[in-house]
Amino acid sequence: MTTAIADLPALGAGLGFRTPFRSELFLNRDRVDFLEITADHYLDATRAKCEELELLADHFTLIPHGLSLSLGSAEGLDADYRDKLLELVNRLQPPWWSEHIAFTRADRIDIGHLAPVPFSHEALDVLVANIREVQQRTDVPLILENITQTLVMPGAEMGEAEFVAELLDRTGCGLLLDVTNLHTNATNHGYDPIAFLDELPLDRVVQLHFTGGHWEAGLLIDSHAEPTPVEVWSLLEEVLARAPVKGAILERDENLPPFNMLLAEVDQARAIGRRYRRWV
Amino acid sequence: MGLAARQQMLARLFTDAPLREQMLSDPERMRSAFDLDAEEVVQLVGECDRFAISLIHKRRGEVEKLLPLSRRAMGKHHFTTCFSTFARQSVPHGAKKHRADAIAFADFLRRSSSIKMAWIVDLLRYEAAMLAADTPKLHLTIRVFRYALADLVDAALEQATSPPRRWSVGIWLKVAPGGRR
Repeated sequence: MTTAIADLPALGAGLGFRTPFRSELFLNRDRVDFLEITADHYLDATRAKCEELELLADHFTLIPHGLSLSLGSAEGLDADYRDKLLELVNRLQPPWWSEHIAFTRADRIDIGHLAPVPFSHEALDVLVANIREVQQRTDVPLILENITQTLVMPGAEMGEAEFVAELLDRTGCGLLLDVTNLHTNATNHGYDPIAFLDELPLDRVVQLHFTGGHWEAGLLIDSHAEPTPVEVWSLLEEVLARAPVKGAILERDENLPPFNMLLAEVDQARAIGRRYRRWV
Repeated sequence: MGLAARQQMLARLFTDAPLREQMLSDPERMRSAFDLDAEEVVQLVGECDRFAISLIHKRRGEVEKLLPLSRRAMGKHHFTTCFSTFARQSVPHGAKKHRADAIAFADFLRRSSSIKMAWIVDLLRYEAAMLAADTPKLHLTIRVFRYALADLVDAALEQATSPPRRWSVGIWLKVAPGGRR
């Protein structure tokens, strides 16, 4: 990262922006420290979406969150998508931007969701090469998100924490630690999330994601459709106690409750961060 | 087999239900691709199946947001069932894939025998036209409907029976203010 993590601004607690609550968001601007926007919604955008982006940028610090760059694709990046995404990032000049440790595309098939990569040396080399390609085109620091391991990719040569640690070390990227995804993986695959945190370079954690999922057929699903459960709050507090986190985003996508309930979760995250002096 | 080839096979497995079924009946193909034993092949195909189901669930969620009136008029069960059938035959592409998916699903429903009520067919055409008109480069969209648009919306919101027939025309026109495009 061109900017050291320690020099990144502490933003506080915020929301993933969703159009249905746009009006209420503006009525409660003082209770949302920053917004994460889904970058894909503003690529090849209509006039209305461009105006929405301008309005949001005028009133909030925006963190673009990409969905389809497919940094884990062994075939390489889609140059057209890469250029459009980086044009948006360079235009907004946010403190950082984010994408996923995943692949979403192969053999001209757009999978439409984040698929895991094997925790292998070959996958590391692929990610590093793709990340360097984007780092050559923007000075805005990139942070990388851990995803839900909906399936265990064969070919692992190391554990996930070691894989992430090496990836961050080789690329200089920060970490977007999704504590809901960590809780989901630990629950579904039967490991201790605290032990996972112990193996991570926590000084590289820049931002957190948190939200709630639901149970289905014996599996915990990261549906982003429920209130944040107590286990995720506990993990969030553990990380905020130990890592120099700059911001936390409530990533509620579906089954949106009344807006004051979302604000209550943002307030709770902000209070925890203040307790550990992560932000004002 | 290198990572690129494995990812290509996985992408096909995630989006192609008949292929997954073939793999289960021909585990040797998966074994050689991923260097797995027979039990691991069954496990991986099962996990791909779950991933594929979650993909369809995600796609349906996005399409429901884009066709809210049709979803309400059809009801959750009918919409879900029809979408599952559609999703097995079609995989969206591109940066605006959810919009493309919604438009394609509306067209699929319109052409299929799943929708018996003519007013719901018109509702689908209305919502698909709205989505199509929202394309940045498209300035004019015209559709003819067998029902008044306000009546269609009211019927969907109230989950009522068929509104009265009344021919109407929907025109979507994007005009750039001040000559700016």
